Amino acid sequence: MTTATANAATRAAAAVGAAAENGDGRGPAPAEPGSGYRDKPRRFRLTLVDTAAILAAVSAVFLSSLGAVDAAGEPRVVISDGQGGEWIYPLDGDREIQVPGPLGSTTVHIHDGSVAIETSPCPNQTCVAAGSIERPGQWVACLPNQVFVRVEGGSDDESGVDTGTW
Amino acid sequence: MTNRASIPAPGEPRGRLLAFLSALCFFLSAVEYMIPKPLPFMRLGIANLPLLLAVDLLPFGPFLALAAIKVLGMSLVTGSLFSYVALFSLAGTLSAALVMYGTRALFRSRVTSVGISVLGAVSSNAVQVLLASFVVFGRAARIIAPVFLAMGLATGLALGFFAERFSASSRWYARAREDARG
Amino acid sequence: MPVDRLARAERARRVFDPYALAAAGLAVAAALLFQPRLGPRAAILFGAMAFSWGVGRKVPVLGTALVILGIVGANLLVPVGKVLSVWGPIRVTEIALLEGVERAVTFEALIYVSKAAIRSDLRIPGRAGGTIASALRSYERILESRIKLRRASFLKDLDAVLLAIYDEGDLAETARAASAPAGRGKAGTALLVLASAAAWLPYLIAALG
Repeated sequence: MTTATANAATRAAAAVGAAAENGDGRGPAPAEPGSGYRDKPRRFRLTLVDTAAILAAVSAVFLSSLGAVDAAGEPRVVISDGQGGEWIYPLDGDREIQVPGPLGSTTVHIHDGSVAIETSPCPNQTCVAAGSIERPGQWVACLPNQVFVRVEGGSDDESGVDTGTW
Repeated sequence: MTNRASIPAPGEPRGRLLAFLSALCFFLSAVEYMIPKPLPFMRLGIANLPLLLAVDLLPFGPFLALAAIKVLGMSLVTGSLFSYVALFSLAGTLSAALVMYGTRALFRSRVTSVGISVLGAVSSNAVQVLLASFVVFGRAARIIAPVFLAMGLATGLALGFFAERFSASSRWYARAREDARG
Repeated sequence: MPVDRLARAERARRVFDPYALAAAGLAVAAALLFQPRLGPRAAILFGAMAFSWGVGRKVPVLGTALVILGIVGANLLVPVGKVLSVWGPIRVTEIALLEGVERAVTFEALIYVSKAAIRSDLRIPGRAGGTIASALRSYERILESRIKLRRASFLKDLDAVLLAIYDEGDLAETARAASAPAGRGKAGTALLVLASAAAWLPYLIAALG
């Protein structure tokens, strides 16, 4: 420890010690009853525990903002049809979405962190055979029925929220 | 929660103190209500100041009773008893109370009102945000959480410093200390 | 304006029994929480607002609208469902919007049901009630003292006020007996039973139909 920190530590210890000497040892002693209001209160010092508590709170705020950025950039399933219609769903969870198209209704199934086209009224069924996707950037589509399914998230995010991936 | 032992008789000095501290809680809640806030349903926590002072004034039973009376009383006055607001108030106040009393019990004179207040305020807001994620915000609560936690930190710091300054030089506090000793 | 509101409150005090009112409030709140559909929930919200106004409570419409907007806005932050429109960086999606509106309506509806049902002369039994009543009296006195605080001597003035009110203590405790006798009105209670039943109707119809 350098001299500076050693001095600071001694002073802090002395302050705490002085406070502890005030009868019940719980910080500055109250004024004697009837002595009148004191305009110059006893010297107040932040203790080590105080600082630790403040640091803990600051890190809680910091961690939660990381969590917020994380939540904003979570991977999403974006489904588009040929007419500009769009559907957005979180990748986690269990959903079945019916997407209308010129040939009929395509069923998109989100399950277990991945998404796939389950059924589609197209002749060749390549979209169904394409299987499930789960990473941002991947996509699957039923061209005859004009249904496009892609996974977005992280730096691919188009919603305007600024997310940086580490 | 409110058995006979927790609430001293109104005639006793401690009973008087409890009632007065409760009144202060009500008053500060009303003040808090007036202050325009970006999101009106999350409490600032100013009304926890009497609770902060009470950490060193009341034993645990009456201290908890104070917290309960604060929530119950304000729910009655504002008529919010059956609403989620009262639920937030209860959860926030209770966690703040427990954390504050626990901090003092754990660290005694090694912590001042600042540390106690900060820990109390942040935990209170954290609990409320958690509840809100189920009740009003859903997943979006994760995005909003940092704002509320930061508010808790700020309020906690302000209240803590104020409490230290106030209790050091207040005649009322001195009288309260006397009455608290029974 | 305030005079009319107080008149309404007085009339409500005569017509309704505070305990019946509280019980009805609880019943309606339960109906609200059991009701899955948005329409009936909104109906309960507006009904509760009207009832609150009727018993002399403040109905801050602007504040309520802002809170509802706030909750809906927060819910829109995480898009779910069919994209309905794009407002700058925010995509308004169907499911997120519906959930947001539902949560907001429920939130405010509970507040107004509470406001309508809980009256300040509701007596809580036991020591808790006594302490609360005493605390409320001191609270009123603090409000009345119209704090004469000045910047320079803020803490000193505050301390003086606190000490003064604290010393007064409960001198007024015995002076003020219970407030004006609350109405045990049968008509009022009948109305409350009707209102509670109405709140439960949509749920029962759906459950049985």
